[in-house]
Amino acid sequence: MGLASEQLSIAVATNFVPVMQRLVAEHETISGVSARITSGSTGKLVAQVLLGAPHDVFFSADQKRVGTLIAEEVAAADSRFTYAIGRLVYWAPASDFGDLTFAKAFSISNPSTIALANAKLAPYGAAANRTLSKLLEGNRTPPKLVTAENVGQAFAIVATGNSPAGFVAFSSVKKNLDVDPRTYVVVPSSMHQPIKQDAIMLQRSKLKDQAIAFLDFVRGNKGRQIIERFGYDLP
Amino acid sequence: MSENDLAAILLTLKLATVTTLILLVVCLPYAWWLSRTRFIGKPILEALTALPLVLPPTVLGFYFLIFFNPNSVIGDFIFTMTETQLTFSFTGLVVASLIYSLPFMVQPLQVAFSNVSQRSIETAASLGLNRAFQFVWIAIPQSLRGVFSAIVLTFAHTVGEFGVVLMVGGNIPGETRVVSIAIYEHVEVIAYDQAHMLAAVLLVFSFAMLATVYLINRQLPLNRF
Repeated sequence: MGLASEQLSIAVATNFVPVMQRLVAEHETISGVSARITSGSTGKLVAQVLLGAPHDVFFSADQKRVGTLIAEEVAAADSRFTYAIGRLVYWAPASDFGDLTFAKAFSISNPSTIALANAKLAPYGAAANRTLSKLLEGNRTPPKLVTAENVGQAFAIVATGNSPAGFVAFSSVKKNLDVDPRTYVVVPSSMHQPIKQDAIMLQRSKLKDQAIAFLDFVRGNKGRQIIERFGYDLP
Repeated sequence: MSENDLAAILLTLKLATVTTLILLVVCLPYAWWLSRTRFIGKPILEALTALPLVLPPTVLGFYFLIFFNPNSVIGDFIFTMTETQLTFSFTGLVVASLIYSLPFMVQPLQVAFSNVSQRSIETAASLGLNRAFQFVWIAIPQSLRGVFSAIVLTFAHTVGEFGVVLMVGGNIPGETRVVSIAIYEHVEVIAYDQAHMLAAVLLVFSFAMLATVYLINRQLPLNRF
């Protein structure tokens, strides 16, 4: 087999791409196995896998769609595991939250609009929605919401000044040097269901040994360190 | 610029070159025939040829996925015969681009060919030149502007493809990750510096292509007969 066919093909949800690039580079120095990364929204990637996209492993932004792949018998159920738990932050670039708790920060902040991901399409959107309804519970007029297709676009809407505040992924702001840590607060995980992200090996993989080895690497100490450093909780 | 982005640029140029060459070979005779024929079904053929201009890329992409995915009858047949999968592969992108860029090749050619003087063709025929000879030595030299515009527009339009490629190609580095898809991904993962770089490359390139068309069109002769 030539070099190109020895390359793992990894499909990964957009929010995890920067971490995946680091994981792949690290794994390559250890094992010599290189990988190409295909990114997209979880729903789009699943549709493509079902229509024959040639990937070896799939890193979802949720658990539900991994279940879909198992039900359709295109993924190996016994290779499934939760690789990261996403954290939501409330971000308002013009404010200074200092050391305030989330509830306090949110109550003093009074933005004209709040950007968040579409709750129907994106797990971060569902988490943001749940958080908002818990916070508001009738006593405050709900702010105007700006709905983005995914959490990356929610970030873009806030970053470009098109909304003064938004619910975005901790991983998006943590590794971004342009974002001052005083302008966001992490939403406590008690406010919403955990955003568990699952990975799985796909049945059509011709590199099953290498795929399993990569999944083991991600699950191992080195992989966990990298994932945590980028702003995710670990299972 | 990263190695990945450079690969995307090379892949885009490869796709556009292959698409343009195939379309040129196929469409020169087709457009010539269209411009001369009194065939009763001509409006139907013209409408079919122009369809990709008005259809959203999602329609073409959707049908392509339905008909050519490896679980479908046609996709399975193609795979059995050629061991090639048309979805999520470079070959598939070429096929989709051939359809998507078809009008950009045919229409300028057809317009140019319909301006070829009938008298010069008849003169050539009366001198005993056969039809192929009439086409190559009489029609094409009179239609250089059209031929040139068709080539450049087809190439540029293929470079600018996005929706179809996203749907039928996915985003596979070295295989289907062309520049427009790479930009989309950079924006999605908030890598704006890289998005800026590639976007500027496309902007300058597209402008240069179009400026060349208009410039050369001034230099090339119009029909002289």
